Amino acid sequence: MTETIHLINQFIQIACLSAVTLLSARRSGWLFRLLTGAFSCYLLGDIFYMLHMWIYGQFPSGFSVAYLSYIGTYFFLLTIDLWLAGEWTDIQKKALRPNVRISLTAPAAVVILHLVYYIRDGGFFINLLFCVPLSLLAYYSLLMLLAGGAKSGLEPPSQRYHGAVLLYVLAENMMFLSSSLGSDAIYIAFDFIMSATLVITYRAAAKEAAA
Amino acid sequence: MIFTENIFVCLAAPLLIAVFLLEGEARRFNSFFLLGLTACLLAGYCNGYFEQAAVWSGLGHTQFVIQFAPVCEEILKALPVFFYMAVFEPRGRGIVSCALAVGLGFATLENVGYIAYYGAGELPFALVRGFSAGIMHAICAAILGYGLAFVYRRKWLALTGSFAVICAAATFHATYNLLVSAAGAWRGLGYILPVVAAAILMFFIRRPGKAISEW
Repeated sequence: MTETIHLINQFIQIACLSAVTLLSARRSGWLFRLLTGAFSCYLLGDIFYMLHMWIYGQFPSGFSVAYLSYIGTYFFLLTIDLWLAGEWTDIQKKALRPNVRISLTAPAAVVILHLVYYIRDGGFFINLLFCVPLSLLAYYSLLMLLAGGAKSGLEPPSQRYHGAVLLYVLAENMMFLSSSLGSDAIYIAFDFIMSATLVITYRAAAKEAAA
Repeated sequence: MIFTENIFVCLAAPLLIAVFLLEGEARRFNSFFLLGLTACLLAGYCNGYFEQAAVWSGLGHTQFVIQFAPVCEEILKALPVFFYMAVFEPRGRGIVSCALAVGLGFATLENVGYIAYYGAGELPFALVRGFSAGIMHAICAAILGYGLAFVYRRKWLALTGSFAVICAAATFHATYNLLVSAAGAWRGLGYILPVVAAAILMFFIRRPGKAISEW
């Protein structure tokens, strides 16, 4: 039963991500090219995961190359954050300094959540692999979210987009944590929510591009 | 038993001479094709060592081929391109053609090695090797080349973007390995996958009247 729910979940995820990837790829502009990369990466990971289940009758155990594709998604999103941030002048850096301190709470939260996950489930190397890019993504997303309201002169603020990415990071971390709780229902619920946040990210990017 | 080093020497010698005879774009393509052959040879060594480690740790040969060999191969294929980007700071098409040359060089030595091992008597086998694994390596190289050409604008963008692009290429490679290592219809699907992916990639990349440098 659990395996069936997992498969249905994967099917829905792949369908959603295919649609979002296709929509991103059809739009032009650097933001959508990088978003296509991010969604394609996630899609490839999901496809690999499901094909492994179909061919070998079980999901990959231990380290899987699918994890690498999920990590690739974080790096694509991080690239977008860095691109949006642009080159900061000294004046802008000074204006952002209070935000930097607040933004550090996001990676701290990610690290704590991963620490809890590590204590409960082990897997130091995999935890580290996920924790580093997720922390960086959380940090830059929160920083850019706050920078938009700080009148620091950064162009463009893109608050909607950064808010959506921050939601995605939160959902991803909650999914990790729920997987160590032993309840499949909670894990699958967060898995769905996480997929939904990717759709929200696309919508936010489309609105930013339109604005 | 085949001696990949001997095949490598046989293929690399004329290419090495050609490096000194050619000029411009042709010399660059030739040099990176040669580096692709070298990357394939190194991948053979690395995969050999890592495979032993994987078998000792209980992972098994098939899981190693599916999960770890693609990562190792894609990293080795990316190294010459990174070196070129770091030293010569090229833009757009220069990066794409170098990445493709490395990928094609890699595919060439791998295919020649397979043909030497399994024999060249069967045309279907040669066709399958050429149109599946050969195109798959070219697709991975294209993902790497176009991705790097796009993100190579600032130092941090290049760093995070490069990692993301390698992850995408490695997962595509792993998906291909997963399918061709299975039996029956899955294997057939694996053989078709690179051709389908090439068609999709060409559809999105080829934009009339727009060069890569204008992205």
